[in-house]
Amino acid sequence: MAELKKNLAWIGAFALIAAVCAIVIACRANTAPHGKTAKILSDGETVRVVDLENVKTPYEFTVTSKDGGENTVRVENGRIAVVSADCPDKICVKRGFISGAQPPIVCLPNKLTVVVTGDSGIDAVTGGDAQ
Amino acid sequence: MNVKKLTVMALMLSLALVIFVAESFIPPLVPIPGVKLGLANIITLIAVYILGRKEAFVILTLRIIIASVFSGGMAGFLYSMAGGLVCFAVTALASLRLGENRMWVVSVLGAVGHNAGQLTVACIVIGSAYVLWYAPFLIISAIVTGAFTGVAAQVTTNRLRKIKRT
Repeated sequence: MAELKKNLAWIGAFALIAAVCAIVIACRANTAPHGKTAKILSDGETVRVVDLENVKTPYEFTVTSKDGGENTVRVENGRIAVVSADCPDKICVKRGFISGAQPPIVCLPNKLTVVVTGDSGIDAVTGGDAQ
Repeated sequence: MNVKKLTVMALMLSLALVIFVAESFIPPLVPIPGVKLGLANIITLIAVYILGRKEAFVILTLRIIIASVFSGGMAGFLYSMAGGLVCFAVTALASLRLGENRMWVVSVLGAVGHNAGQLTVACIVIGSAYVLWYAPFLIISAIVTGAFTGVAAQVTTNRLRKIKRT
């Protein structure tokens, strides 16, 4: 019985931690602003900022990292995705489109991050004062 | 070091490598970098309890080095090494307090440590803190996969002890 109690106590503790994480995820999903622009970072530096609003014709461009890794990014109205990559696992491609409330797309082998931010292209400059 | 121990260690290392290769055939289930079953950690856990911490550490580091030769890529090696070392430190400390009946708990703690180590390296390598978004996802995944591999290790250790006795 003591065995069972000890195991249950640990299960309870882990369940609690998991629940806290789930709440954090849910909160971020709700508070994250609807994306207007997307930032593309390669090797930690912003290489491109794209406007996600009023994209009439979807377009694609390729980001090449310092080591020569290539990712093709596709921009559609209100959303962005990595559609092809030369990395082995293709986790970034499997993520599909993101439009704001989701965690950024990350390609670890090519050191690429695609993150949707709340501010629009113009507001991004004066964003601090707008609050 | 006696021959028997050396043989068991070599056996465990090869087992861990086979498990690692077999797992690499499983496609990523969730499109979040860092989420994986970590089945090879079953061997590390068993080694900590059956052979000892020092022996388990040797098996783990050799596995990571040889496995990264199999899978190729320096970047992958950095992540596995960081994850593996933090995971081992947590496992070794936790195993001081928790016995064989709580191996699954040690496994969960180790898995969380593994992901914490990888996330830290990811932040440094990628050069931005955006990856931290994944932290809550990774903690949940570590609890689930850690419990799974931990139970597997615990059951195997129980069986091994029975074999040893007879």
